Amino acid sequence: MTKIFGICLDLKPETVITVSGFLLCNTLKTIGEGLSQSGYSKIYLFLKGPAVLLECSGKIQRIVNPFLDLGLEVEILYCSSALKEYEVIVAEDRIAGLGTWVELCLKAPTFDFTAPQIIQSFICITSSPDHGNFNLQLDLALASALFDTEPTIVLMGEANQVKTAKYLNTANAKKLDGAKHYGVIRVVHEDVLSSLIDNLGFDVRIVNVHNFKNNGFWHTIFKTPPLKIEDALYPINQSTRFVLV
Amino acid sequence: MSLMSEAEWSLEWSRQQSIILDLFWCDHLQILVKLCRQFYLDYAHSPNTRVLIKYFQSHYDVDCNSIQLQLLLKGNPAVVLARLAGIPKPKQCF
Repeated sequence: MTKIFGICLDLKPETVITVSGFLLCNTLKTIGEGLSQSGYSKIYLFLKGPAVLLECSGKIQRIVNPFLDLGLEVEILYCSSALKEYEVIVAEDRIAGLGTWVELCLKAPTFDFTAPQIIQSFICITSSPDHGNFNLQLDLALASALFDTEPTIVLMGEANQVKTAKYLNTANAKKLDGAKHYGVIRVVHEDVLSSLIDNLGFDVRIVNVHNFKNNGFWHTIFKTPPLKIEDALYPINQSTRFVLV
Repeated sequence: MSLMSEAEWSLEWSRQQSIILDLFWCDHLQILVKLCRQFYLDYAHSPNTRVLIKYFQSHYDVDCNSIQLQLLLKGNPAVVLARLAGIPKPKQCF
């Protein structure tokens, strides 16, 4: 099994040269070290939103170099429905997507993201119910649902424990039960997504992907808890997965 | 205002709170207070106004909207109802 890791960047090029950008690069370096030690050989770097301008502004090297220094191969992919708006010209085989688009972009890298897509809205919860991030991710999901996005909550990895007897009467489980009152359509197991990609030869995980419709176009936003450098990131020693920064 | 136990909380206690808040203690308000408390007991968190309204409308056939609630409660409906129901103040922003 090829061990590939995906990172999505959604930031303006000018951010790279700020303190936030410096911290981000350090975070990416930390991720890279973890990946290198865990046997990963390649990284897909998804450029999302204004990040598609990173490469043409030359600032992408600040992000890519730490990975290259660690011996990791980096493939840059463009994940935006507004390439024309940003006046970025990209070879078709470098246009890709995340979330429910993962299957499409891997099977058909030339998938046209400039056209409106009717796709479901998924919000993924990944943390263990024992961890504070679970509540944070659930709050994000509920807050999104309140905006009439009618999302489906996808429980992934350790988050599935919330459905076990051990957590049955905990505040987190009860809060999840009340999600329907916020407009959440349903709460499902990650197999719903995994089944989309079973035939692709490697495992892909998605973290907090949320699609919304605006002016007739579907957009995707990504919500993760604030990352701190000293925090343990997502478990990266088991399977291929995507982390969004 | 923190959660009061089932033994401590009563409608009479809520009524006294409503007097302090200068609210009209009607049957309608009593139902809303009970439902608000029930939401907390069922789902372990205090609902905000929008969720409360959805909850009222979808489960108990209670006629209400945010304007009615604001007029009835003279303030943020979720916060006032939480106080009357003896449950924690809701988080206004997730």
